[in-house]
Amino acid sequence: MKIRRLPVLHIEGYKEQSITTAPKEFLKPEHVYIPTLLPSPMDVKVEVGDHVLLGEVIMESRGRFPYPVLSPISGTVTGKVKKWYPSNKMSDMLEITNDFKEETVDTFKNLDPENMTREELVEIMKKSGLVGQGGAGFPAYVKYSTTEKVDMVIINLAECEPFITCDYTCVLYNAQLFIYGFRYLLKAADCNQGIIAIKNKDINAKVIDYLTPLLDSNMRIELLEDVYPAGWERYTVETISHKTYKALPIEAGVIVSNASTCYSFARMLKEGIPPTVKYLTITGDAVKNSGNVLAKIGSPILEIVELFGGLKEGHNPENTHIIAGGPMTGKSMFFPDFITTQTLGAVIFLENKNKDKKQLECLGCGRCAERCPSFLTPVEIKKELAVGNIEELKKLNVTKCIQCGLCSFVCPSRIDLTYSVGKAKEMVLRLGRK
Amino acid sequence: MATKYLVTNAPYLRSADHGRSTHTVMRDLLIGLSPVILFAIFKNVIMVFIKGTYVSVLQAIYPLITLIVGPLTSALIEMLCLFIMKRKEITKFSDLLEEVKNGFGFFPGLFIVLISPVYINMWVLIVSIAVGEVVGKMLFGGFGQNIFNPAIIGRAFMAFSFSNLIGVSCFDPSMNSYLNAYEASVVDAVAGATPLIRYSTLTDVSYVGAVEPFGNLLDFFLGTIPGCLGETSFLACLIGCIYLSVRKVIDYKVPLIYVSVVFLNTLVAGLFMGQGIWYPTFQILSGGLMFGAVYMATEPVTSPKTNLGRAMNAMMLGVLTVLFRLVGNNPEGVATAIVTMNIFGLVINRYVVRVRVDGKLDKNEIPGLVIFLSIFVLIFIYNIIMIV
Repeated sequence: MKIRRLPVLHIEGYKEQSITTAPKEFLKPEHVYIPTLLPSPMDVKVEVGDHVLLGEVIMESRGRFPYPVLSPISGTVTGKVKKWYPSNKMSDMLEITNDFKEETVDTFKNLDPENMTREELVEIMKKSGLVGQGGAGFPAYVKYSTTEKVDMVIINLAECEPFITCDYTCVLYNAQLFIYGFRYLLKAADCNQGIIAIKNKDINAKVIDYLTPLLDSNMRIELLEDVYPAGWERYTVETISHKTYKALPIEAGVIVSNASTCYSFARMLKEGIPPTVKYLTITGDAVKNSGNVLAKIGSPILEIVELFGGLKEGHNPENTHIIAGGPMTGKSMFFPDFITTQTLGAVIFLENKNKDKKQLECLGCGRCAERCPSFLTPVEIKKELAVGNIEELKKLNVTKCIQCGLCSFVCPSRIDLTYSVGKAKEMVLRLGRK
Repeated sequence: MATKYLVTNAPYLRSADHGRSTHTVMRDLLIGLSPVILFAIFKNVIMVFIKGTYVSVLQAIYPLITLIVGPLTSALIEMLCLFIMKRKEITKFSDLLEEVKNGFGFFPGLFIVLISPVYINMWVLIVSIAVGEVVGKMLFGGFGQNIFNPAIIGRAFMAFSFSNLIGVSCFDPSMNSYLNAYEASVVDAVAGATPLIRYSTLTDVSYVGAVEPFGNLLDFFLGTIPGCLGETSFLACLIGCIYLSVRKVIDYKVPLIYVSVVFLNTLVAGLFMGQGIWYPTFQILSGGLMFGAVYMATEPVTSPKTNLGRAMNAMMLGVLTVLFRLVGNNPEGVATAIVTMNIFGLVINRYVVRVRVDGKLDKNEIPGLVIFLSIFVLIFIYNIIMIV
């Protein structure tokens, strides 16, 4: 079947600066902070003063697909504080003080995945609170407990945003563990076809060389074009499986998981440690050294940045973005004292030399419409949003926007199209719910 | 409290910071226009000096003067309008200059000069530029808001309001303004100064009657024929078109489709009339067709925003140009067609936007497409019948 070609764009990667050195470790924070309100409101299971073990359930998310939140360290709950969350919002957080004993709960110890059934694997995934670490943070067990027939599991190693190299590092330094985890992800999906989707670019050659001899007979590597947004789930699924779908990839018989998710799953099965660590890229112009770090979830970013020599002296905060996430879709933060989460892949300290340049009027070049991977016309959406025409916005399919940022990226007049389309999408969704 | 870091909306990388801003687009447009401008200077100033047929030096360099005065006039008028419109926001003179810089005010004036006769009366030119700039651009709110191409509004105003002055040289009332000093001494025997004006007076279409008075078709291609200042050279427009397409300032498909449709339409009509291949070739090489197709039909502000929309627009422009030029017997067919499609382009834009949703045709859109195609085919056939 011939597939439609989604509009994409090659974007300069800037990835070299963060992969020249081996990843550092930040596994012994004094305190960790676990948000109780974000990304969704949580039912807190522990009190201030309680002693918690590593992997103990401290919160449970509410909502349609509940998942537990585990303590990343062993220690004492010492209080409730307000801290910044990587979406540039403040949240109440539980502060846990480390006793550096790393006492772990028994739930995940001595697992024998070889003799576990599919259901048991999904069950342990659910207990571990594993969420998709690519960014969306969708609980992983929901995907794998499907009743549909799964044709293939795709591990997304595209990492299509510039600057970020956390998945690359994760796989490069843990290739065997990664494949081990992938083997049981395939088992958890009851599927016999595993695909690692990676971009076809020079710096990835090393990873491909490492992985190739380790692959099982039912796994293979598929190369994606070096374009943005190649890591978008729909792009990956459509280019690899040649099938389209409406809402979820499972409609095409595909499950997509991020490489870091796979790594966390593997660590849990092999070493008995639930998903409490995450590779993170620290890079940008305003930080002294760039690189990757394996950090405990809930660690304060400022302490991690100290590992890289801290921020450069003389950088001007008024000209510098702190981006939580990638430069295309991430959020810029007011203050650097926020914490890491399961879904945070990078923190970029990016100087913005053009912040005083004005937005011009729309020239009407139509480049935003040409480049939209969801086939929207951002410029028209912006116009309709300005007059608040909801009916027209619905007809323009704003809910299909994936906030990839390409429309703002290509706009020669620096118009904040992505933001406008995002607002329009929110507006339509909010009214739809009423 | 610590200083806040800079917070803006994602994405934090913009191609506008890496050599693709509106200013670079406009600079490219100017570079893309340069073959046309240079050829106009070559033909109307340098050649005149070489042949030495000028009456006064002022007459010889008059095209140069208009090329300077035109853009300046329109930039000044834009500055005045901006000052009136935004006087609450503008406190310093540098703010005003910044606004003018971001409004690209000199382009309408430059375009109007290029599509006006060589020896146009200076006051007619200035008034037309003022009208084009104010009515065509600033009344809509300035750069990016205009519905019509301001240059064509100004040119149309010139054609309607000064119809007795436009064809008369400002140096010698007995001379034709389309002919430069050198051409006037050579082709003065010809009835009708430009090929299209002559063509519109012909009762019997023939190669001898239409083309031969001005040389052969190669002259048409190179542009060594009488006509508006910047419009005569197909070659110069083609060079500009290639540059602009490579730099992705314009969509090459628009001129390609536009010119092809005119060619096809006149080819079929010509065949019915028993004319050879020269007839459609004459039609695409003469008048402002190539200039209009490359520099005006592609003007982004007034074109549809999607690929399909632009293609539909260009198809319609093709048949409308033939309709106005040959059936309506109006040498300004290109300008009229572009103004017309500026209006219907809005309709197409509105409607093609929805065609694009999901990247495929929506069932609801098929009636609209069918209507569009039937109008196109109807005009195409009507043109043929009327011309024959």
